[in-house]
Amino acid sequence: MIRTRNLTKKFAEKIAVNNLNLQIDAGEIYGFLGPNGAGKTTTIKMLTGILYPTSGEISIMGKNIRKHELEIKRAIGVVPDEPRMYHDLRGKEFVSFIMDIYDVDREEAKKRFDEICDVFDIDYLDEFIGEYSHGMSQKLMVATVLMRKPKVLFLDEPTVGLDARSARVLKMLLRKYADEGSTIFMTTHILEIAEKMCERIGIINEGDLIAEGTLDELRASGGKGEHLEDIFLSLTGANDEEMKEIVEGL
Amino acid sequence: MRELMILIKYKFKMWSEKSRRVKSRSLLTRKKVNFPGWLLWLLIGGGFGGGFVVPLSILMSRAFKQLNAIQAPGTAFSMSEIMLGMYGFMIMLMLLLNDVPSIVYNVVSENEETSLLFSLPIKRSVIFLLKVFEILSGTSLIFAFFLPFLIGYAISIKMAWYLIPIYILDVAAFVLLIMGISSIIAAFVARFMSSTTAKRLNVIMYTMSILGVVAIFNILPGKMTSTNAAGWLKNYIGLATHPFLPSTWFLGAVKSEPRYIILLYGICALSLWGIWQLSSRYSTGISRKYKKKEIGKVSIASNKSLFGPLVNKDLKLLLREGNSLFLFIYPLVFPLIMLFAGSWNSAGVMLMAGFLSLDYSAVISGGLCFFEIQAYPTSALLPLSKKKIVFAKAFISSSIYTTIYIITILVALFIVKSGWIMMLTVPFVFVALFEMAIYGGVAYLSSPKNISANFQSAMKGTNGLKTAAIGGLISAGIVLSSFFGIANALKLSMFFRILLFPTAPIVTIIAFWYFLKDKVTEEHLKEMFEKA
Ligand SMILES: Nc1ncnc2c1ncn2[C@@H]1O[C@H](COP(=O)(O)OP(=O)(O)O)[C@@H](O)[C@H]1O
Ligand SMILES: [Mg+2]
Repeated sequence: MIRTRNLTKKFAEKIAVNNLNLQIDAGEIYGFLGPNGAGKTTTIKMLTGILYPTSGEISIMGKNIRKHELEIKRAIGVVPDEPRMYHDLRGKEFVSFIMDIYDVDREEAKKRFDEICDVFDIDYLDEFIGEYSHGMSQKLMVATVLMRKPKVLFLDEPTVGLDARSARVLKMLLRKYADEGSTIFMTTHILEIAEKMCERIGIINEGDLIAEGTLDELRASGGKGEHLEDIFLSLTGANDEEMKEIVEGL
Repeated sequence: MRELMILIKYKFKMWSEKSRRVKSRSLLTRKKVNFPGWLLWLLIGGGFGGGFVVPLSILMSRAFKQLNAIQAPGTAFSMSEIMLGMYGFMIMLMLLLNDVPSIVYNVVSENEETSLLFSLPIKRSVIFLLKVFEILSGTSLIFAFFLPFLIGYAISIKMAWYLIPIYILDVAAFVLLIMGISSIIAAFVARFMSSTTAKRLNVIMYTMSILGVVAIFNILPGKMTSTNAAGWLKNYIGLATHPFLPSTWFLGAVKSEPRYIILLYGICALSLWGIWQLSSRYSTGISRKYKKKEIGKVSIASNKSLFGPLVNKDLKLLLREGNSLFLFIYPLVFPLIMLFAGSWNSAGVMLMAGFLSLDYSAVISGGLCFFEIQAYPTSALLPLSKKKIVFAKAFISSSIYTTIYIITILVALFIVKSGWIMMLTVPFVFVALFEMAIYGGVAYLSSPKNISANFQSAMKGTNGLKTAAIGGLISAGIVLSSFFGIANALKLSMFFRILLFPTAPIVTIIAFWYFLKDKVTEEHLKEMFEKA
C-alpha cells in the first residue's frame, strides 16, 4: 500500500531524510520511531503529498504520487502533527467543508462522525476553532479524518495533546480500522504505544532508517534489552552510563 | 512608574525591531542602508506638519477671524467659539467611539500579550496603564487631524503668549477626560460584550472615524470659508453650548469661565481617579463567551452553494474578518467624497477608484491566502490543486471589486452627469482585478510567512508597497487611458483616439499576464506552500 524508493529530502545543506526504502502492506499498523528532528514529520509530509521529495519515488495504493496526487489525497487520511484549521470557522462548519470537499456520502459520514464525537466527547462544534485548545483541535482533526474511513491513514504523533481517555479511544479505533483492512502509518514518541499497537516498527535517526521489523526482529538485530525503550536507546546511540553521569551532575 | 517606563521602552523597541527584522529579510540581497528610525519619524512629522498642519492652520485662522466678529445669538460666545465648540464635540465623539471598543478589546479582554504580561512580576495597575497609554497613542492620529482647527483658532484671536500653555493644558485635560470616560464606559460595556464583538466594533469604529475625518476635511473648511458660514453655524449653537457636554466645558475653560474651568479640571481629575481605581482591580475579564452546552447533536448543514465549498468557505472567512469591511468601503467612499466635495474631476476620481479597487483586490486575496497558511498543513492535504485554491480567492475578490467599481461609476454618473465611457472599462477592469488578485495571493505566499500574524498584516510592508505600485500602473493603463482628455493632451487624431481606448487596456492586461504566468504554475505554488 505504501512504498518508497530511495526517498530523500534535503533542506538546503541539511539532509532530513536519506535514501528511505519502505514497504508497508495492506492492513498493517506501521510505527515510525525516532528522536526529535530525526525526519519523521518530513517523511510523512512527503508521503502525503505536502512536500516534494528531493529525489526518490513514492507510490501509495500502487499509484505514483507525482502523477496521481489529488486522487491519492482524496483517498488517504492524514492527521498532521499540528492540528491547524481555519480559526474563523466554527467546528461544524469545518466538518461540513471537509464533507463537501471530499464529496463523501453525507449520510454515512455524518453517522460515523456522530459516533466518533460521542466517544471523544466532542461537544464544542458550535464554537470557533480559534478558541479550541490543542487537544480539542486534535480530536476534531481525528474525527474529520476517521469519518471518511480512508483506506490508508497517516498519523503524526496523534496522541500528543490528548488526555488519557481520548488517547485510549484513539488506539482502540485504530486497531479496529486496521482489523477492517485499513493501512496505518504512525509516528510516535511514546514507545509503549508502538510496542503495543504496531505490527512492524521502523526506527529513523538523523534521516537514516537504522532498523526495521517486528519487536522480535529488532531485538535480534542488535538492539539490547527487553523493552522497546532499551532497544530504541541503544540503536539511536544513547549511552546509559553517559546519561546517568550528566543527570547526576545537574 | 519605573516599571511603566521600562515597559513602554520595550514596546517601542519591539516595534522598531519588528520593522527592522522584516526589512533585513526582504533586503537580504540588496545593499544595506542604515536609515535611523528617528530620521524617519522626523520626516513623517515634518511632512505632516509642513504639508498639512501649517497650511490648514493658516487657512482656518482666516475663517475663524471672519467669524470672530459675529456674536452667537443668545449666548456669551462668538461664532468662531461656536465653531471651536463644534470641533471639540467632534473630537469627543470620535475619540469616544474609538476608545471604548478599543479598550474593551485591547485592555479588558484577554489576549496573548496580556497573558504574557500577567505572568511577569509586574503590578496590575502598571499593565493597565501601559495598555491605556497604547490606546492613547493609537487614537492620537484622529486627534492630530484636528490640530489645525485648534491652532487656527488660537491664531485668529491672537492669543497672548502666556495663555498658550493654559490653552494646551485645556486641550490635554479635555483629551484625558474623554480617555477617562471611555475607560469607565469600557469597564461596564465589557461585562456584556464579547471580545469578538469588541474586535469587530473596534475596526468598524476606526473605519467610520477615518471616513468621518475625510468627510470633515472635504466639507467643513469649504463651509467655514463660505460667505454664509454664520448662518449655517446658527443651527449648531445649542449643540456647541450644551452645558452637560465636556466639549462645552472645554470651550468655557478656553474662555476662562470659572465654572467651566472647575467642571473640566474637576471631572478630568475625577475620571483619572476612576482610571486609577479600575487599574488597581485590573484583570482581564472577558475572554470568550461560554455557551451552555447544547443537548443533542449539532446539525451539520451542507456548504454546497452556487460556487462550491471552497469559495463558500473563503467568503465566510472574509466576511467574518472585521478588517475586510473597510477594504470594501474605502474604494467606494473615498472617490465619492472627493466628488461630492467638488475637489476632483471625474478622471481623477475614477483613477482613484480604479487604483484602490486594484490594490485592495490584491490585499483581499493575499489575506485569504493567509487563512490557508493558518490552516497549513491541513489546507495542503486537501484534494485540491493549489491553483484552484488561489484562483477561488481571485474570483471572490475580483467579483466584489468589480461590483464596487460599477457602483462608483453609477454614483459618479449621477452626480456629475458625464463619464459614461467609464462603463466601457468595466470588462477590462474585471480582468485586471482578477490578475491583481492572483498577484496578491502569489505575493503573499512567496513572502516570509508568519502564522501568528493576521489577515490584514498579510499584505503589509514590501508586499503592500509593491502591490500599490503595480495597482497604480495598471489603473493608469486601463482607467486613465480611456479618458479622451488624455488623447487631447497628446493631440491625437480621431483615428488614434478610437484606437487608443481598447488598445491601452488590452496591452496592459496582456503584459500583466505575461508577468504573472510563470508564478501561477502548480509547481511554483506548491513550492510556495512548502515554505509555510
Ligand atoms: N522546512 C524546513 N526547512 C529546513 N529544515 C527543516 C524543515 N523542516 C524540517 N527541517 C529539518 O529536518 C529535520 C527533520 O525534521 P522533522 O522531520 O520535523 O523531525 P521529527 O522527526 O522530529 O518529526 C530537522 O533537523 C529539521 O530541523
Ligand atoms: Mg515531528
